[in-house]
Amino acid sequence: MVRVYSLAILYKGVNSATTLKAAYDLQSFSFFQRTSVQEFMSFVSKTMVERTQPASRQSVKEGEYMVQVYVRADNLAGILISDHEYPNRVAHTLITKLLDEFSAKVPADTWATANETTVDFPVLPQYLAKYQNPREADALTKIQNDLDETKIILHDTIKAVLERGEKLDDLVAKSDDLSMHSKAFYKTARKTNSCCNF
Amino acid sequence: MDEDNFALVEKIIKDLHNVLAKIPDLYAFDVVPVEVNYQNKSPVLHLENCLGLESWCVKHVYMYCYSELMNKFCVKPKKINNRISTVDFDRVIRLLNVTLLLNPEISTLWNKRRDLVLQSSLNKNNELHFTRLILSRKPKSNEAFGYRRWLLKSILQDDHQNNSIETLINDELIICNLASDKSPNNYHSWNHRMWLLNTLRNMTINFDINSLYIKEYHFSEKWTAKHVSDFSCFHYHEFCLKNIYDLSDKDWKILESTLNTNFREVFVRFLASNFPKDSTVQASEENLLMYSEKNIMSLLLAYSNRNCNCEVNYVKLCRKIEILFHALVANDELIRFYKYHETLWYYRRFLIHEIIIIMYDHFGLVRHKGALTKISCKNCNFDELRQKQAKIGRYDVNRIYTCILFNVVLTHEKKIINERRMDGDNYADRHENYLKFVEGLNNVI
Repeated sequence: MVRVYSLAILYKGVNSATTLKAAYDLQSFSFFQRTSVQEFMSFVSKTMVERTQPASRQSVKEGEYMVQVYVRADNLAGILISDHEYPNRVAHTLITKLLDEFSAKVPADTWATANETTVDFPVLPQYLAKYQNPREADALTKIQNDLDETKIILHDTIKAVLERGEKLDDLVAKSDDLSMHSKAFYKTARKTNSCCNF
Repeated sequence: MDEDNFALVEKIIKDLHNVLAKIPDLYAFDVVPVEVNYQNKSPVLHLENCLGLESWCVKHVYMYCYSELMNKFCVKPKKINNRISTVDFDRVIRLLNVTLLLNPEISTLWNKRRDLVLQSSLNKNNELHFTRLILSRKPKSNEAFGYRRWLLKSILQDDHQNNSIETLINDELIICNLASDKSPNNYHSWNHRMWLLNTLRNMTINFDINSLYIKEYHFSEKWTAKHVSDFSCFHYHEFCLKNIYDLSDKDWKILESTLNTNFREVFVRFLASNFPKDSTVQASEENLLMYSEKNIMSLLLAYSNRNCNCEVNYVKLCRKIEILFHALVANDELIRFYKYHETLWYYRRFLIHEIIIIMYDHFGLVRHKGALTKISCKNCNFDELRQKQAKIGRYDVNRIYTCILFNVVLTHEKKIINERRMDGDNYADRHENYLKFVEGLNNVI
């Protein structure tokens, strides 16, 4: 399934990243998992942005998911979580477009202090819905291959992005953003290794 | 298990049963990962028509129910009369519900349910609904699909004139959609869908199967465009494509308007952009559009090796080819947009294979053990050679390979292969090898 699960704009601070705006489409997850999945996606978004150098793009494949990150030189970051079939180029074009729009609308000096409630940028859900069908959306925007020169760095697992000695399990255990429930969810998902979950 | 737990488990069974019995619109079941029972609350969750069970109690509940079922109700009958009494029935069904929700992969228990259905203790429609719950958690449960097939078969046999057949089919298709959506490459759900269509085809009921074929083709075309690495759905799409080969004139028009395309235009555009340059026949797009089915086919397949006088149904032949080219053009677009997906190339092989088979068939040939041989006409069994299979000469082969349709296909394939070589995967090269060595076109590429 070509599908986008989440779309978020973050600000990469000195030590940690803050979410400025995010939208999710979690219809495909089972009802009881949705809150955990959402927490987890926002956690992964933050972690990934924190580990991406400014002015670079990364595409990370993790199982059947794909995480696309772009951190601009001015520390504004966009992140898109989709399934592995979603074309990288379209994802990065969308992120670039979104960040341009965002910086035009929200003044740059507020980024460092803003959070999800103070930012007024309501178009994310619309983009999320529109880009569920990348072929149509891409044809409409008519931007075929004009991604800037920033090379997309490809990674095969999240592990490859983490710093040396870091482990995702430890990060999850230490995180304050995840509820007990989500941590339990993460552990079971790890154990059953979703692809074998018949 | 501790004695203390028994009461708790009984309570959980009762809670589950109450939710199942009271809320008819339940559509999903899931085990929620909660490892420790922090609060003294019932682990049975019920929210917005979804049923959940906290994971810490699963092991206890399952062991309890399973052992009671197996020890009490699934032992070999000593007497022939093994009917479950009404008192037991309620108990059995509760246990069955719980155990199957937690682990649907036990055929014995599904068979127990079948027994109860045959005794008319269970309502077939309710049973269909129950399997839906199971599939919401385990969309690849073959046992659940198998049970559905069994139920449907008997419902369809019960009354042929049933007016609700449309709703029944629609429900079934919806369930398949949900299951296919939940888990990629879901062989079971696509297989179930195929079974449904095949069963309806073979039934003598007043039902317009062709309109269903059209609907399904349209559906699968849209679905495959969004699931580019799921071969199960592509396989179903192939099945649908073969179903619409033999549509009547009226249905053909409906198909065109459903898909909102003009097959002829797509086909002619394809031809015009790949027409062999040195060809003596010069045909522009406008000209080709004016041709009748017979003329266009005679132009493209100039030569026939047939020796009998059977009438060729050019309209049907032309339509088959048109629909295949329509699919081929759609596949081009997908391959260009979503790179690096093997499935798309495998589907392409199918399309090319079908086109080539149709051509061979038209020429009265068949590929047998890597060599082309003549076959007798299927309609009149004309066999002048008195040999089942006879080798054909090089001269004949060359004439096939010079026919325009063949060259158009080949030119187009070469173009695509050269274009896609740049992608950095070896799918284009493998496609070329397929054409060379599997389709046996080594001499012409």
